[in-house]
Amino acid sequence: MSSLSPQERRALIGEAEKANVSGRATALTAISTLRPWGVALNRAFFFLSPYAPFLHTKLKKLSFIHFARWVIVDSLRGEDFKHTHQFFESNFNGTSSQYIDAFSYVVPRELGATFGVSYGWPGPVPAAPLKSFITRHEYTASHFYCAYPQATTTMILSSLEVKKRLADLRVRARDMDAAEFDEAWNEFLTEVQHHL
Amino acid sequence: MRPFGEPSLDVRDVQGNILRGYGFAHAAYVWLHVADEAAGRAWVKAIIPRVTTAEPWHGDKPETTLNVAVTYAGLEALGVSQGLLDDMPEEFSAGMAARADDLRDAGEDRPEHWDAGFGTGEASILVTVSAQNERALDPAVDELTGEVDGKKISVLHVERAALLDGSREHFGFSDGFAQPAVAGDGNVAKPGDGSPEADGRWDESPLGEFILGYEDEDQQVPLAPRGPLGRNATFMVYRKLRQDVAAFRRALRERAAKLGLDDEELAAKVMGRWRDGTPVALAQGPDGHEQYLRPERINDFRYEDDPEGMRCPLGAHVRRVNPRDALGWHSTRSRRHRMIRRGMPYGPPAPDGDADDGEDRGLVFIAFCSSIRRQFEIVQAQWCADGNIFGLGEDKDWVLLADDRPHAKMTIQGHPPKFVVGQPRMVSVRAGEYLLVPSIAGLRELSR
Amino acid sequence: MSDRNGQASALNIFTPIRPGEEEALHAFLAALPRGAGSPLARSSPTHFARWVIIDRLPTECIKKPDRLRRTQLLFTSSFDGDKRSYLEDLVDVLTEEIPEIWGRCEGCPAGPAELVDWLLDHSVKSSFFVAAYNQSTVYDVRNALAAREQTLAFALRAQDMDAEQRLHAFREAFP
Repeated sequence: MSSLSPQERRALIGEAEKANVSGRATALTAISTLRPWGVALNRAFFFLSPYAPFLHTKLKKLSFIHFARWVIVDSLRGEDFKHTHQFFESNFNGTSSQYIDAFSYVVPRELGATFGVSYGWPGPVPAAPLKSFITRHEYTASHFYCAYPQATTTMILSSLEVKKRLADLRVRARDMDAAEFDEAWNEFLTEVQHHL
Repeated sequence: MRPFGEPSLDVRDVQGNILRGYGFAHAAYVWLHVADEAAGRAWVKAIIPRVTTAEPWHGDKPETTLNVAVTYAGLEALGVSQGLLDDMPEEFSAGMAARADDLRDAGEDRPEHWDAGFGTGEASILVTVSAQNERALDPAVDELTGEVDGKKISVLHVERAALLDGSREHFGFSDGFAQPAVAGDGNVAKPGDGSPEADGRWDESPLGEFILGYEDEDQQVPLAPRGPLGRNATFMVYRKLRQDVAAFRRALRERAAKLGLDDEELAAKVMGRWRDGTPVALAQGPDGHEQYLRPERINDFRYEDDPEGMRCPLGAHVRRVNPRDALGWHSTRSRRHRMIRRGMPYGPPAPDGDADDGEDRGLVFIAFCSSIRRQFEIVQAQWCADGNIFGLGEDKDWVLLADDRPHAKMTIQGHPPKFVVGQPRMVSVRAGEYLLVPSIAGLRELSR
Repeated sequence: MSDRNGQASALNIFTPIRPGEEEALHAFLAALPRGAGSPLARSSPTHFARWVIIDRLPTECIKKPDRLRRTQLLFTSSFDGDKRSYLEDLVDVLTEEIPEIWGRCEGCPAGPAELVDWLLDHSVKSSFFVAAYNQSTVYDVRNALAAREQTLAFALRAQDMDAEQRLHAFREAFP
């Protein structure tokens, strides 16, 4: 136990789970060290990513991430690094374990693309060594805040959709009679039923 | 009943009723508390010859069967070494009661309301006796309870269970026939039992999803203690669920008429199957079920062509507990969350009508899996006690869970949708434990 | 390299903790009320934020791993708008807590304006920032969630109404 950092000790004691959770939001913070030849690859991947299909289809379909980021760190004030490190954080819904499962099974190649150049990377599948890798590179937040802890990403996206359509219906309803509104209401409900 | 074949593991070492159900109509769950280590170990030693294994029956079936499972507290009471105890998965060590928050158990379902002796660490050993006939059950139970002295080992509770007519459960639904297809279990897999994959294929689950010591879906051997305790064994979830039949019937009746449905249709929509077992995904109305009421058809369906829930509602019970391909990418996100279920109803059948006769009845829910957290807890907490993964926000399983939020509802998707408004309590958790079902070698280890 | 996605912004700030004060800092942060009672709730543009103590860097499989001279306090935030205004507001609403948080870091300046500069100086740019609803502020999100609740509440009531009643009730609920 004495060779563990306070962070590692906290994780072992299980403080990790509660501290990293706020309502339905879970925080994941991880740092890995990039192999020298991997730094440029990662920078290139991130540069090109906004144009990559996986973001718009698979990740959207998985829909449990609120905000996430990758940060390549080659120096910090007052520190002298020989290596380049990559810090990753995610704010998402569900357990850490479900999160990693989903990525490991649904987008293994993309996961490999962003973490594959890290020292110690075991490969995206199977999930167990991957979970172990993340756990060993994970940090417990001392304080984690979410402005809307009861809302999941899916609920938020649904809410934005409902709000938009409701605003539209509100306007149209002003000039309708009962029969017209009845039809419009049923149409509205049919359109938003998966968002309510 | 599935035709016999030889499972591909040592059938004399694995306990029975896991990979293949006995199919007996009566059971008794005898809960023991072990207060003395030596007495406990001696008891285990003596019971080993009577434990029913997974060996196939050729010829006559036995009159009774007997199986043994142990809680974490039980393992401690039997003096298992700290090293082996530390090897146990966290949720098993904690026990179901301590996992109430993780399970999202709320209100009356929480352990403080459970039957005496459960969730307190008192339950050490569960002996499950099953019998074809009720008359054979009592002597077997008496023998067990008679063997313990009441001090070093005492009987905490005996729960009796029995199949209802037509293998129904108390809400009237045909139950127990849909089980995961497992590779090497010696059973012939029926369409629909496996995990749905491309080209109409149904994949069998690897043995390690249900039996410790074998490779699971990740080609890894699941977390388990070293040595005999972690091989040819499985984890068991025991959860006694009281069912308020009167409340269920009343809840359906109050809502059905308003929605322009009859009670049977509403019952089918909330459950995802008609009472005769026909999947709502296949049959939208009460007629024409005969063609589905055969073992090869009754479970043969997918959700991929019903992504909006227009045929089987997204929140229907069977869709929640076994989403098949409803979560996208075929069964990628569901295949690691299957459970073998061997539960049985308890209590007398409810009389007709919705008057409450005050009798205690329900389901002794029993599941076997190699990871309680992944296969039971996630299904219970994330798929039943929540709806987010199905796009249903905070909606909970309408049949299984009460929801006292002001706008609790279940949506029956459609053009336009119908809302089942209000979600009263119809099922409550009365007792629960997590157990290890050791192999015969494991039992020997516990009796040394 | 981007700290923006739509109208959402990212900040990642690493500040060195004064040796010996790491545990006290963690204890202070861990004891802060969570949820709506968190000091960060006073910062209305903040969607998600966290303070994480980074006391080690990876060592496995690395021949000569880097070691931190100082344990770092990492602050990250996903918020609305531009960084400087955000930090100016943050520093203001956290006046009471700052001495126990950044005040425990080496070189932390006294005045708020200097603190904002110092924090920006210690920030690292994100390489890639993902935001699921990148056009919505915190206010927009909360507003939308409320709209959904109201719509649902109405839909459940309206189910039993006839067409006339429903139109009337809708106009009342959503003028």
